[in-house]
Amino acid sequence: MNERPQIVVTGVGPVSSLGIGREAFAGGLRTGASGLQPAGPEWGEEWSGRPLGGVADFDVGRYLESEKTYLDRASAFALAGSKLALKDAGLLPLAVDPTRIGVCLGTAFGCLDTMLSFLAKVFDKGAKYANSVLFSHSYANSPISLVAIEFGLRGYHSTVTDGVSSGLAAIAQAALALQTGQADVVVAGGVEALGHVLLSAMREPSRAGAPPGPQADTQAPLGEGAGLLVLETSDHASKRGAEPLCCVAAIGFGPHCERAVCFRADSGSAVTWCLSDSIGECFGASGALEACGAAVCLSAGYSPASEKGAPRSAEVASCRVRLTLERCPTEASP
Amino acid sequence: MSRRVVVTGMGVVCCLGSDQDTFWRRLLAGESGIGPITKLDPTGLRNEEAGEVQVFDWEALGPEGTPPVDEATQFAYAASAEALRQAGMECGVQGDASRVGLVFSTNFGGAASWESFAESRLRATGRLEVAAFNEFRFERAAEFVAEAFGLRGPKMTLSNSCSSGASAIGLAADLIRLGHADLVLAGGHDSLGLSTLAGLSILRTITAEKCRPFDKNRSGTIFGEGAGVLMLEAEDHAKERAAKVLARVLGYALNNNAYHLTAPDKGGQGMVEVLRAALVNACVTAEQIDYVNAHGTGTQYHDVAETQAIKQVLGPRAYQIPVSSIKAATGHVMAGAGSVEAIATILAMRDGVVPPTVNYETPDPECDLDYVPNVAKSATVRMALSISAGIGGNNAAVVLAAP
Repeated sequence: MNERPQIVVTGVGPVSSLGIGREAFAGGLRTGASGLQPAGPEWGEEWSGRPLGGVADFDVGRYLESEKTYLDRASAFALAGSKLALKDAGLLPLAVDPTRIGVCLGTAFGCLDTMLSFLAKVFDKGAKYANSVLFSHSYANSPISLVAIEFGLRGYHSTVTDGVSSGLAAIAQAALALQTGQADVVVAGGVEALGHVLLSAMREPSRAGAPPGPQADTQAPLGEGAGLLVLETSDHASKRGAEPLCCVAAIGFGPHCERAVCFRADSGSAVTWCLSDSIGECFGASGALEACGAAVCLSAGYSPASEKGAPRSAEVASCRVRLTLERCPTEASP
Repeated sequence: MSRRVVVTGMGVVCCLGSDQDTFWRRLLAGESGIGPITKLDPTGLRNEEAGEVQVFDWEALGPEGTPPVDEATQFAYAASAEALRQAGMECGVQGDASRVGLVFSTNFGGAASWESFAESRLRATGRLEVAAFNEFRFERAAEFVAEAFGLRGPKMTLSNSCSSGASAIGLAADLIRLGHADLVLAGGHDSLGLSTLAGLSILRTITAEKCRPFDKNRSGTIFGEGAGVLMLEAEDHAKERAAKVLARVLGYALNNNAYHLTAPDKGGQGMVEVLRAALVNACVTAEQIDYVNAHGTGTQYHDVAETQAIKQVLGPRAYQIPVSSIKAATGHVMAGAGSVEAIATILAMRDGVVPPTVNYETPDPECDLDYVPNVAKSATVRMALSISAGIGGNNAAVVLAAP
């Protein structure tokens, strides 16, 4: 049996409060900026003034060939992130076999605001007057379907809905698909959108006798965005002359581990990095945005958590999924 | 070197029954579990019938304490418990629990819990049902089952609309093949709710009369609920503990038509590609397939497109073997469909008899395969293909073989 293909990352498409696109995101990482801003009154009394990592000035139209009748914010992020990642990888216009390029997308909550809008109409007017457009955009796999349609990606295709690990788990599933020869390229990562439904659900769980209220003091700030990476077999990347950002050294599953990103230098010293300090808890997008950040740092030769030396590897961990990225070997390396 | 993957346990909950034996007996008898919708007001729905789970006692089937989890989670738990029992693990897994995982899938998560939360959110006053939101989460069933049975290995939940069940089996097989686990519980679950039925109704995928897959007068599908869970295991691991092997999982494929969210792609090329890819992944040829468990929803377009795809990929073999859809008997179990149907396929291999396509009355010249109309048929099935497809344009196929 042949050895499993080596996998590399050839593009990233981050959409976050820290910046949209590789350059802006990397700039934010380098300067240690924060994407958190006080929430405006539109988020309601409980959240107004509290730090939120909302993606400001986001215009999905910039990333699409044609205007869409309707898009949930999660779908919009997925489309933008995928476009940015594919472009960063030099894959647009698509000149690879469309049946060999897939998508794996993770999201903890999918399209909650669309789900609620759909159900509100059903409650109000009855099932006979349900809105088919809203329903078809309300599935957890609506974002991934729209990505496949927009970019003509007919290959391996799967949505992971695994809570906060969703994006990282989708990247791991993409790696498995590449290792088993089911695809040559997979656009993989996670998306999550802030919305009224999510923010209202993130209140402190109601306990008997206690009034509902935000988990203000104990809850980490919330955020949103998309982290998409282009994973590719190294053979396929090299044949088309693509320059990888980094290699996928390993994927691991179970048992439960803490969520963290750990950069290791050649010397073996390790530093821990916490992206959510800068962009908030982004649920299904968080691990994927961390992976984007790790890929960018490994490629550029710096660690966001330390000034000292280029990192050799980064391990991104979330609950039962682990992804280890490594700096690509150079000609001079052994 | 990839490890070989076998099935050592199965569990089913659907409108035909809440255990494997009842399910299979009624399926082979040509019965349908579809009946009047009783759990909610069906006013305004295209059809007032569905495949509701009828016989299900959570107090008896669930863990001690009868925790108040969503119905969808209950279905997944009960099917998992049956699969674990059959695999000889009802008292818990032996050995390293970090080598035992789950891949579940669901379209809607805890549907009733979502509606309860949504209702509270839309009301101007009163308490927000945040606990209900917790029970709605897509990954809740996997979390609950993992905790209940002490499964500490890989844990994933997928959501691939009606390809979900098949995609869970495929990913679970890959986890074992590549050495990330020795055992993985895999399958899909969904429960019927107003939101689901109203949405599927307005998309006009639901028939106003009976579901008749491949019949000339077919006009749509009828949805059902439930769960199908399989215990996938590394063959070497199963041999070591002398577990009874029910089937082998040879391979699978997933893809997307990349055409439209709800309209089918012209020419059905996406399905052709997924069937070809599944055979390649399984390293088998068309001539080796003895039975196809079709997606067969009973919609006008889909059934003929699927027939054409089967013919294109299997060639003359398509005319030599039975091709049946059990959706008229079980309802379309949504995320559970692919895994419930995989279980039916494995039972067909075990007993040498394939389940019928019920409600079949009038042949359609465009659908001219042997759909096993109404009555189960004896057949030696050594290898089979199970097909699924879902909203969003995704397709899935799993290749199964007798032990």
